[in-house]
Amino acid sequence: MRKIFLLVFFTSQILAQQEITIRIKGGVPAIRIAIPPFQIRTYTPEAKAAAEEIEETFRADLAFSRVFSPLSRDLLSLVKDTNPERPDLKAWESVGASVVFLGKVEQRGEQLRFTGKLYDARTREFILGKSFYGKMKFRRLMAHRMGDELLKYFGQIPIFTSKIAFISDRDGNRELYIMDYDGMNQVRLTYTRGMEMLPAWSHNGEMIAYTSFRRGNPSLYIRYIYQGKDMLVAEGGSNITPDFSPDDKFLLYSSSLPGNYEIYIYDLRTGQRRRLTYSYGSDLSPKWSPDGEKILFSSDRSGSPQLYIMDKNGKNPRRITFQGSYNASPDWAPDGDRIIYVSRIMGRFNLYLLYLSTSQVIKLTSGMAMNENPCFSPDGRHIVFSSNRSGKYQIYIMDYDGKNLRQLTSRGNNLMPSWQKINYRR
Amino acid sequence: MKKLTLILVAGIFLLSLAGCKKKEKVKVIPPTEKKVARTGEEVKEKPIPKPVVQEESIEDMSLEEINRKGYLQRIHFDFDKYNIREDQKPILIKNAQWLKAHPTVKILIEGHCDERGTEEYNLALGEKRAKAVRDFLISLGISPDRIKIVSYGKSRPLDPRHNEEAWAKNRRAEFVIIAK
Repeated sequence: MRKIFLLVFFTSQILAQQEITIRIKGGVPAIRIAIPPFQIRTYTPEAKAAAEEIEETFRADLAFSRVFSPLSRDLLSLVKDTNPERPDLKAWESVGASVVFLGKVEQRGEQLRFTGKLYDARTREFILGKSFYGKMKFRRLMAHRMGDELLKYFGQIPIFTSKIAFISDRDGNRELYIMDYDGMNQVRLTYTRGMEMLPAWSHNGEMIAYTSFRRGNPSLYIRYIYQGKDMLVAEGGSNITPDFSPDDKFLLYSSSLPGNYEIYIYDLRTGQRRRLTYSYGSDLSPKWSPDGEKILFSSDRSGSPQLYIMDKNGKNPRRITFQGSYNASPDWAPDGDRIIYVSRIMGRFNLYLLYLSTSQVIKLTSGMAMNENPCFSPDGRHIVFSSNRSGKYQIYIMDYDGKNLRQLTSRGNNLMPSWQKINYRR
Repeated sequence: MKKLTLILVAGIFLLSLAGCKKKEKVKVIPPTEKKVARTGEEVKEKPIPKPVVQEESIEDMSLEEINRKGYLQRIHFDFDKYNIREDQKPILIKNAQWLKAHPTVKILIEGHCDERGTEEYNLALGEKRAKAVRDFLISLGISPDRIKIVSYGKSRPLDPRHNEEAWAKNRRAEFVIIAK
């Protein structure tokens, strides 16, 4: 029954021939995709290895997505599909596939071409064809781009090329790093030999706001990663927890300049800033709502840290957490309804999910370790966070329901992750 | 009464004996005294060398060396608190005395926390601790422009373990001499 429902649902969308939005929520099955072994045509060992890595990366992306559910190897082996140009879609449908992806990697001198074709198994129609061409060192990027095309086709936010910024002390002191969402290509960005902390990624993927102790007290900087330049945003007192507005024109942050931490808004074009909160407590971790109208933040104005939501001009703050005595480090999901945060119980931190519409609270992690600084993926289906469950602090990702936990880092302490945001409304 | 006088007499006798012993001890060491007398003739200058040596050494030492000597002692705090504990006040009073004796010295007060707070709230708590220490030193007469503060939150623990003992060590304010 479930399969039939999915097929009807899926094919009706295809026939409609328009941009569609499938909201995959808990309980809704993902799109069953058959990915038979790629055709690989190479004439050097390096090219062969690169081509195989493209295939592996593409498969891993789709398996990770929670949008697609790739068919198992056993099911794939049941179909003896010999002609890659005209796939036997009837056979693929009979083993449960909704769509079939045929991949081909060819070597052209020093470069590789990755071609993918997507078919609807039920209607037997060709859906989509894409081709990427580039140097072998961009093999993973080609695979991620292909995955992104599939996500975009099904109306989803492309997350496979998104990146995660984080802090690592692997080379001695805490510096700023970035990596691919799957933990690959870890690159160090700062060489201050001071201490960097609490980075936040912009929506256009070109800026990272972060705090640096390079001049003694914690000042706020924006790193333009493709120019390698830093811009000083705020100094004097301590300046931490930045967050870019959905249009990347404004930056929220907290500053202790007035005596205790208060929330400020900084205009990136004019350089002007305005104070938004006036409380006796520490107001920290401001986060824009996905529509840019509200601000989520934490404050200990009531005596202990709790979460609040206020208008973007700082007016009408209202408290939203009432369980637990220490709730902090929030992040707002792109759907605008879910908030993930850290709650302290008996000196340990675990991650909790709050649904604003129903006030339901779900505990996502358990155990005696510290789980900190959670941040949603651009599509809200995954969560990145840091935890010292294996001894040192490492960065982990898991799905919105706590499943599919994966460790992304291993050298030194790695913490304070920020997953690049993508504003798909633009 | 008789008993008391007896005790007094016995006491005086014992004291005089002790006095004799001391004199005897002093007499054991004459070789050094003689040597000193030969090199530097005046004996009156002798009692004050210690403080003079300390002051001179600070001028000669680099900041790193001064900080390694630990003239200013760190203090500790209670969990989630930033008020100065009564048992820690004598340490701050000593530190203030040292600062008064060295009026050109400037210091950085670092606020630190145990791991049981988020990075953000620990930065805030560490700053409150550093400010509480600064205010206490100011109340003891230290000029505010000799004091800078910074909070490192939980990023620089003294003890990396995860137990009460380690946490108690890590909740602290450190003093770093940044100018002499």
